[in-house]
Amino acid sequence: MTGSMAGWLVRRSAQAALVVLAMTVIVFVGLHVAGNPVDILVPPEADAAERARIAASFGLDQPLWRQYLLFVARALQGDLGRSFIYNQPALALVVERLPATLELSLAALVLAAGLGIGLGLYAGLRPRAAAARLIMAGSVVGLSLPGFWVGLMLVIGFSVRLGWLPSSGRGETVAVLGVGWSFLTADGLAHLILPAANLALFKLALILRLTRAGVREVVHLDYVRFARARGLAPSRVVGVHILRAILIPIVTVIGLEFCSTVAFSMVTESIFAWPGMGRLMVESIHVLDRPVIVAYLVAVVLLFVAVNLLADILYRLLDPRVGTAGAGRGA
Amino acid sequence: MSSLAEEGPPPAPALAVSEPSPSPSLSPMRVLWRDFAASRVALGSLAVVLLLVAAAVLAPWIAPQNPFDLTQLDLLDGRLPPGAEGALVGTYWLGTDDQGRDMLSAILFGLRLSLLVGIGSAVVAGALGTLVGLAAAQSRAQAGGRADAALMRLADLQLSCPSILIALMVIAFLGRGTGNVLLALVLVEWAYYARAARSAALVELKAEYVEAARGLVLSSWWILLRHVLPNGLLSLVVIATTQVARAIALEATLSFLGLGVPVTEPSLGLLIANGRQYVLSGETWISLYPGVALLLLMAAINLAGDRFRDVLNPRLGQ
Amino acid sequence: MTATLPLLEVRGLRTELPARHGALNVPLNVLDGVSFSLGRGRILGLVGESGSGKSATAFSIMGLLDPPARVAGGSIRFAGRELAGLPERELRRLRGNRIAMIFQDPMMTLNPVLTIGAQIVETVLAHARVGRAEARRRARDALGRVGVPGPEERLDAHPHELSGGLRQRVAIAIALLHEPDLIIADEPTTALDATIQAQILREIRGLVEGGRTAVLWITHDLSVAEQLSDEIAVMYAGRIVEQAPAGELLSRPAHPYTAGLLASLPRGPRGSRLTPIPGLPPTLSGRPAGCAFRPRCAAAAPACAADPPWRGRMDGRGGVRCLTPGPEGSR
Repeated sequence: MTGSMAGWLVRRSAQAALVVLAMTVIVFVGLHVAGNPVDILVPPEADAAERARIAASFGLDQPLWRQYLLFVARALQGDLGRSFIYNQPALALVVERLPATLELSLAALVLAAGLGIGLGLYAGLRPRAAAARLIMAGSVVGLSLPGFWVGLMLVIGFSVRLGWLPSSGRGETVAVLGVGWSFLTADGLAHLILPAANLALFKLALILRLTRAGVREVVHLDYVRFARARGLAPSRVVGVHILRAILIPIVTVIGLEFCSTVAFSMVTESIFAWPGMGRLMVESIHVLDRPVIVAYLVAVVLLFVAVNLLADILYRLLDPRVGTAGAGRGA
Repeated sequence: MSSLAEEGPPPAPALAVSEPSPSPSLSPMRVLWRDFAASRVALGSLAVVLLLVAAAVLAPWIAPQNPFDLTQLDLLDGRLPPGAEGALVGTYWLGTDDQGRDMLSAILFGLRLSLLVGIGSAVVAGALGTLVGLAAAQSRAQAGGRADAALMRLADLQLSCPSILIALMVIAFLGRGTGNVLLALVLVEWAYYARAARSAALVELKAEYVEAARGLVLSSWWILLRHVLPNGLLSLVVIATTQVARAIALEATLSFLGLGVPVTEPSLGLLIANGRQYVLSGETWISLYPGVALLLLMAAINLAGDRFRDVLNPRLGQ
Repeated sequence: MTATLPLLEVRGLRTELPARHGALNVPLNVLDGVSFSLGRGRILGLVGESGSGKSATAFSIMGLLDPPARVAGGSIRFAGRELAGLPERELRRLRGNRIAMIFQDPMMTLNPVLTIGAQIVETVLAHARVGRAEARRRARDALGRVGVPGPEERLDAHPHELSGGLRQRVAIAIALLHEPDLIIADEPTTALDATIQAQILREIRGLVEGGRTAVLWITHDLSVAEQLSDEIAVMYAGRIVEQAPAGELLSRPAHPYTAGLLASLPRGPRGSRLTPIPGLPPTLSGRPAGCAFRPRCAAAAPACAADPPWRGRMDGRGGVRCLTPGPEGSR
């Protein structure tokens, strides 16, 4: 098993590298085909001589394929240009804000997964209960509400009207591993709650519905019935037999949804003035700080590919039937 | 005994074959409508959608004011609460924004823009995606499937990428504007149609292709257009209903972030964004009512679309 | 039967699927007055087509009906104790302990993501106060008892690594763990090939010969029931239509349905024709009033539109629910 796992890991990593490569091509083509790359890489206020100098220094007089290789070579060294606004390396700017976005996204996902799986289990096990019907109706609402609207309502409700929770910023942070984290202080946690809830709502509805559907399907499977027929305690039937069976698709979806959570966090970050890289991206588009835009896209793609790889590995660890020496399911 | 537990149709599969159509004279469309109308929620949602579409279409005639025409706006009427009397228009039923724009008029015109972008992107993406899907199926059936593999990898890549990221890339590279928003939405949506069209076409080509003239590229395209498209149309329409709702939400989000339509022609999302700075001082109506309109529209489309899909799905398999 | 109480006594068991809000507003009787009794050391074969209610009988006894199906009337007495209406906690103490169940498809009854050992151990721990090491020892012994080769290694295997026959042996080992008084076997050999089926039937026979355990053997296959059972009850459309000692029932079927089943078996003198019963069994919502077999019965009379009473067979052994029973077996 370990041997085949290593081989699979190599193949899967090569695949991931290919996706990253494809994305750099898209970003590169986006930069060069959609607009004049000089405009993108040069501050708008630069004069003609300055433009020519920078164009030459970026190799913009070279053929496109050489330019691409140059772009990749620079990117590999972590050089994605300097921000016009901050006059700092663009990648460093993005990376600096990465922890805030990661903290917000992870908090949202933990909230969504915890509540979603819990409520989904309940709604799936007691489909006729009034509370379960209410939960399901709520999930439909959660899926059709646009996230920014929910965020605004949370601000109006909990910050403006009730005054319970702060509506902007990260609050007090504690430095661990060289970066600040909000969730470690009471003040930071208070700042984290509303944005995390905002970002979580859609995923919560999604995970809830997925869990419920999984439970409805699994409770009628013979092995769950057999587990009950063996006299196992309900907690064990639900917590081990049902949960393990539905966990695989849920983990897959959470893995996939992590990426969209990070991407959509830019909306939440904008509403709650959360100093993450999503807000930086939105601001950079407003002022056309293109090196930062590129740096954000590259960082996000790398993150996504890494997370997908991780989810795939987890998936194989959870389901012993997958990929034991190439044997198919149930073989 | 698993049938004991199903909550769906009555557990009588053998009997059910003859049961569902008591009046066999009904055409398939009439049956579809009857099944759809069996749900009051769906019927109500459809009514809301039609009402909102009608209001949007008729906006220039029924709105008290043209909110895009700056000469009609009076800055002195700015930020009036709902029900206030204005100098130019009469009663501002939903109040005014900071420009002195009548919110009711702004919402009607904003609805118009949101629907236009939502439906427009669905139509363009639907046509493009269907074409791509058919071409992919065609390539698989006839030309060894290289183009098919490439197109489907592209679709996979697109589908695995969060919609807002694709939209932002378009806006970042091309700039703001209604046309670019439309392009962004099309790029986000096309893959859904392409996949559906491809799988419908592959089924059909497998069945018919053997008998059809082999090797003639023209003939297989003929089959696709003559048979696959009409049969697959319903499933594409189902996809379109969800995609319209998604497109409207995405457009609203982009506009809310200030990365969508221009400020001179506000969509619902932009109206909400405009009112945001006043929310904290308690002047919530500027954001609230456009938000309510957006919610109503999205919930109604989603609910009606869900029912539509449920009614259609057993038939899709046939 | 001796004067002592039978181990299991089912009287007038009625299991229904309650009315739903939609089209059908009458409760459907899945079981419509099922009665039988079973003594220790005996095997009762419950024979019927799918949908006849034989599995519903098993799940009613186990208290494992999927809601909204429920026991609506009658009594189930097990070792002098009424099971109908017993709280779930009490039922759970019996399940897998005093009453064990074996399911049809060994592929489906074991949880694919848990090891064999984990599933046996959890069953040990559900009913016995022992440590993990002792539970594992018992698990290994249980596998050894049912002839699983290399039980120690099998404990760490996942179900998909075992053959169908071995998997069913594992299921049987689990059923025997706590030396139950009653084993309910729901078509446990249907999914196995003939040799393994015969082996397992022999082992079950041997098990019962010990004297303490009773077996309710559910099958659609009259010939399997004949090989194994002391007594056979034939079910049709939610009712027992005939019950008699196995030999008598097969040699002299009284109910036309039993006779029909028998005639469709490849047995009897060489060259005799196999005649299937015309028509199909009724669906749950389409059962006719009176004798449900009437539409397919060659001997049906107008009087059959009324409920036929249960009465003794001509030979005085067992009973039959028919107005026009065959005199003594089929022609």
